[in-house]
Amino acid sequence: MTYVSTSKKGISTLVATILMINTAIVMGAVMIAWAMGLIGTYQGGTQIQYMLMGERAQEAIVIEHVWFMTGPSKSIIVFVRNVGARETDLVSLYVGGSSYAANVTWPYTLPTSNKVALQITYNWAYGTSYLIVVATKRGNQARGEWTA
Amino acid sequence: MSGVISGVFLVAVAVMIFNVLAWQFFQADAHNRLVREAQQREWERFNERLAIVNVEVGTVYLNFTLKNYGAVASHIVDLFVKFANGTYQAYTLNTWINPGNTTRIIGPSKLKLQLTDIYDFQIGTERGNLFAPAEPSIINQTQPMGSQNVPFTLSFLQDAFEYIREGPISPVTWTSENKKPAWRIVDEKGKAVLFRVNVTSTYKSDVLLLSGSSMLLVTPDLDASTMKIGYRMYVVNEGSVLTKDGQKWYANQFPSGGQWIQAGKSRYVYFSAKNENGTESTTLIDSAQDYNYQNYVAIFYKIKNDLSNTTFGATVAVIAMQIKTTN
Repeated sequence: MTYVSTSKKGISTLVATILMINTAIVMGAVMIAWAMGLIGTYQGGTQIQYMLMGERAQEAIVIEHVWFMTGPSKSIIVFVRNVGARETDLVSLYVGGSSYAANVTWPYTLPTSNKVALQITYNWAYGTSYLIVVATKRGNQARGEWTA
Repeated sequence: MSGVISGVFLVAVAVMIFNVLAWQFFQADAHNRLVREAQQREWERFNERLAIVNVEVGTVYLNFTLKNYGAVASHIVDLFVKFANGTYQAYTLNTWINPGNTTRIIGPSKLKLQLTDIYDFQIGTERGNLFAPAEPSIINQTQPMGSQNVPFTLSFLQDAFEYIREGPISPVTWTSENKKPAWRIVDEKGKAVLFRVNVTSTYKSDVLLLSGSSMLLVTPDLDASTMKIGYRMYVVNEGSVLTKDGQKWYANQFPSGGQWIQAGKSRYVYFSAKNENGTESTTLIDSAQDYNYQNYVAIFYKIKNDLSNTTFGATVAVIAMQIKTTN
């Protein structure tokens, strides 16, 4: 008597399981790669934000002094000093809420601990107070009210 | 097998999450360190305190004592000078001063002061702070001490009491060649003269000078037994000059509305007219004699916004004078 096994159920189950595991590994790898990309993007964006915030925190300028000059044409000289920990780019000077072109080219790079005298032609009036604002490229300001 | 795989997944996901959180923490920590450094700089800036306690006068170079009564060492880097004539100058300094220390600072050699200079100044530090002396302005001459509350003061500086006299060319103006100090006058008899006195108002309101203001020169030398009035000159217009018309010399008439002196400000008051509201100039009298005079500078004035509209009178100064005419 010859015994012939006709059942192939065991092999197909094993193959199917291996196939499923392979599929799961491939899908998992794809998901990890996708998640790493998202995380990388998130990390990149956050790092730039932290870097900008850090640079802004390190930057500081002050208006040291303001001279109201007489002469053929009245002018104002604003002395600005960099008191921060990194160089700064000055981009604008406002007097009484209006922007004025100074004797330097914007943006003006001011190294740490240095000062610059910004001169503008302005027809000021004796005894009048003027709000003077100097702004940097990173969005910081130095401001003060000065009386002619 | 599936347990192993799911375990690997779990560990991988946990590592990823930990990595993100750790990275976030280190980024925040680095940022906080920068913010703390910025706050430290701000704290140091606000706690920098310097006092300019003594400014020497009568010196060629700016000379002052600086005291650091703050909590941080200071680096003095700027010097800003403003003169009374409106001129500004900026110089660079390089002086360190530790907390609690006092140091003497001599100004830069480029800044040479004259005895007639009146100025104020500020020093700037590397942290961006600015400090000024307690006095609003400094007169670069040795000053008399003491004080007396009076409505008007005379500074007794070289240019505080001056005169001009008629010359070959009309008009005679207040150029440095024409004007002279007036405490001792040696000049020719019969020459028209115009005086000016620099007075400072100590009122907190503006005052209006009136036309009755005059300068009275009294002498005992004309008559040994009595005091006699040698000259009486009435106030003329501010900035007045001497102008010849015919054989006589005239000053500019005092304005009918009076002359304003702003609160706390110094102004020249001019005297020359023989009569109140007149223009004809006083001339030097006598000949070849030295007369000593007591000069009473009398001012009549009103105070701005004074509800009582009172006319006040004050002797601004009693000045000792000598006048010697030479022909």
